[in-house]
Amino acid sequence: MTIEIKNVSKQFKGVEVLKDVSMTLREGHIYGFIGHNGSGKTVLLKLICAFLEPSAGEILFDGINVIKNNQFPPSTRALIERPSFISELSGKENLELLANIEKKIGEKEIEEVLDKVGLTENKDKLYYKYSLGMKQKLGIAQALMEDPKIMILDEPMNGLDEDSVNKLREILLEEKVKNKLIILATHIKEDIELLCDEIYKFDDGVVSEEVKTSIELNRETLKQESIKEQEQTDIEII
Amino acid sequence: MKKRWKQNKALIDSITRTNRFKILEFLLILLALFAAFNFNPYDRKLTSGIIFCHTNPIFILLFLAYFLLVTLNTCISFYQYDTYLIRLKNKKGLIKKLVVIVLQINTILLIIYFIIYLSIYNLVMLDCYEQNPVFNYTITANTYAIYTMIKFYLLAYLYMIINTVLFVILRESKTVIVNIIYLSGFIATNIDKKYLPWSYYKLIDYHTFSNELLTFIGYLIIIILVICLLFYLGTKQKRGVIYDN
Repeated sequence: MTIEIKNVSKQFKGVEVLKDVSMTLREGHIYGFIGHNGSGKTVLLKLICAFLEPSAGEILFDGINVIKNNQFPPSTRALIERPSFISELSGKENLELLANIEKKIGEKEIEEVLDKVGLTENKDKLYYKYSLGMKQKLGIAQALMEDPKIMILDEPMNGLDEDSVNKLREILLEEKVKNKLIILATHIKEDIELLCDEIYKFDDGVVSEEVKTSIELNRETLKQESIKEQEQTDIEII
Repeated sequence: MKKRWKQNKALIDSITRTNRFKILEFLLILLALFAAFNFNPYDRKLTSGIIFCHTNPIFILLFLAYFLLVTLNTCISFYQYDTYLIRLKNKKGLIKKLVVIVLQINTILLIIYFIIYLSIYNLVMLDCYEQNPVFNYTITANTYAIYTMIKFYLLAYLYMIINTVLFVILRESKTVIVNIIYLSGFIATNIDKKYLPWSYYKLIDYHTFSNELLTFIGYLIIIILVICLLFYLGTKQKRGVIYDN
């Protein structure tokens, strides 16, 4: 799956929030979108999801313009801004409701994804009783389930504790190996450095590709530090 | 149908448990009370009252405006579930799902409305049946009352569908403007005009009942064609599925 974003601009009531953005996103990669609040990251994510229409330019999924065909992008799952679930249902019931639309997966797969994000113990708790972190985990779970080819995650680490953040990073790297195309909008530098293959910096609607060499160096350093830490822990355990 | 109802139950429950919906439920009670007391004080026969109420422009205006509010509230609430929407594949699926949910919620409200309306109405009215004809028609007032009810609620359901599709095409503010123009027609138009969109709700003499029935069927066909056209425009409209205005 390839997403081609060609000269996309977006205006809201005359104000241009995205200016002539072009990029090509390919499967098997994690792409990082960085930039301050209001820089246009979320708008581009909504455009990719076909929730919004570009004022100019086009977005192609394997060469197909889904907005022109009045479709949602194929095999795409998204977590944009706050997760939208039904408060009076439990976490598991919410996932069952979503799974019932396409009927691709059953209860077993839902249980698996809940376990993956660490929600098994709280799966039967009503959604409105969930903490912020649990809500976020459920949002991630719905984006992971049904084996989508494209995953769009807007600040997925929001509200997660350190262990959950590490777990999610592992999950995303696993998904990347499965040839998924993952788009990650985040403020957390470490996420960008550890996870992303390419980084796009958003600045008042203008998008530029970050110089990757320094990032890669940073990532390598972080990986080495992480290995060293692990080795030290292993030695201490022995 | 039963399976579809069950599938949508969770969504319906979630939409109907909001504070906004509680206000709508309160307004429904007021609407039912207004309907129950909306009869000709000089003719307190059960069937005459039904005909009087369901052909009264003020009642029609309030009833349709109320169900416009419910429809818009349902559409706005439904659009918040973007994790649900992205799984519907395309705009056609989105419109179909939205129409079904709107009709299901409105049906629940209509049942509650009927229970309140008929309970109070039975208490305030004197006589049950009326064998006198309406105008010079060959049918009795009883039969005409049944026809009036069927006609009124059928048109109301079609109105709900039109507003749902209009919401998808125009979003809430423009849908409200279109409806203000349409609804004001009930007050502004002359009662003698037989072939205006508002006439078919009102009590107008078409000389014979078969004439009236044929005219109504013709109007119904036009409305269904309008719905098909709106549905086509909605599915072919090349714009963002959820947020764009």
